[in-house]
Amino acid sequence: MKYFLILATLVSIAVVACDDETKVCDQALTTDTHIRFRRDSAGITRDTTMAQVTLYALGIRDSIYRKQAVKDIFLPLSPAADSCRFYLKVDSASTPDTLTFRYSREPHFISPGCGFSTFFTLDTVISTTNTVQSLIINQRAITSSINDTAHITLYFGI
Amino acid sequence: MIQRILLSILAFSGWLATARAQDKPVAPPADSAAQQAAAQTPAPVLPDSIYWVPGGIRLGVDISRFVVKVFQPYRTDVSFAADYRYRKDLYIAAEAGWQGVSHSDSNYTYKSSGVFLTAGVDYNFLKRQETQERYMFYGGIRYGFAQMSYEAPSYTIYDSYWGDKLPGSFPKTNASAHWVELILGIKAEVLKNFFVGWSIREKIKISGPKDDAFPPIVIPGFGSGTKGSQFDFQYTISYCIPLGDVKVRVKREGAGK
Repeated sequence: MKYFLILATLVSIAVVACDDETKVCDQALTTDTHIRFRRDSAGITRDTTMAQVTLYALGIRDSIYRKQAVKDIFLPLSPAADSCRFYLKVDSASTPDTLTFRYSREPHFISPGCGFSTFFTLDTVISTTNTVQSLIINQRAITSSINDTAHITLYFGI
Repeated sequence: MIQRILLSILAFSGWLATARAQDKPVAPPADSAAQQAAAQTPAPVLPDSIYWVPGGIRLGVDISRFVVKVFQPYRTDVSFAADYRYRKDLYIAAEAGWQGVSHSDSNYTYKSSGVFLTAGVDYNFLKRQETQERYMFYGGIRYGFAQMSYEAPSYTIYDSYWGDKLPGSFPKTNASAHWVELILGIKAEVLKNFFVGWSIREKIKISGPKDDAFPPIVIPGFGSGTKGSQFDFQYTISYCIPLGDVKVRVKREGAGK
């Protein structure tokens, strides 16, 4: 029994030290831009849920959101270009807006198991002001690290 | 030589005795005549006990690196270890080796090669039964340094929404790393001058490759390129080249003290 324990310890030591890091990908590879919705009502700004959000990239047309009730959205910037545009409609009655993103890209090694991903640094974000009133860039670096701070806050008047 | 040592010891103890005599407080003079007599006759001084233990340079190869190859097929490590008996229980120790890495999967390909060197000391804690015995249970410390170059000849970033498969590559990058190792191990002489040894070690990185966007996967001699500390082990087979003996001097206490 004693020798078995010693052997088990040695084997577990060996396994820990020899862990093949290229086999497992346990980290997020997605580098989505996190956008939060806020609304001005009677002078008080608060988080808001939009009833029927539809979002897609101009030129792709595959919906990222289709008439969903959400209070924030995650959108993927194009890793093949330095700018991209998105169609955003937040309610069935509202006029759609176009969001334009300009940014720089950088390949980033996530881990031996996951390989590479693209990190972005936002340069300019412009929105039409049909329904969107204004926007603020909170964080320009878009990486794979998950945090609660939205990269961009969109302010609505409705 | 021994006479001279004896003489100097005698002189030294004589000086000690006078110093003590001067220090002596106003002791009750009529304490006992016997005590006074004992203070005056110098204690018989014995010479230092001197004996020799086998010394030499031990050269070995770390065969655990071939086991690592089984678990981490992308790694090829060759590592040698050497130590030299400097004092009875103190060994000057060093390791050196080469590492090549070649990895390829659907996401990326990776290549690196580099060398490392560690240097430090081992201290033997084992109490020996006899002076010729060379078994060791030791603790050690090393300073490690590695120099390497690595590259990603190709990688692909997949994007599900945009439908892109983006190819790219990272050029050859030179990097170096510094670390400290703490070691605990055993060594046994299984045949005349042939040793096997097992040790576990914790490696703590002091400084490493700076490139945050693309760090190396593995650092030669250290291990994982992304971790700040690394646990590792070693299994060595080594041969000791006898190179003269190491003198051990044990101070002997004067009798009667």
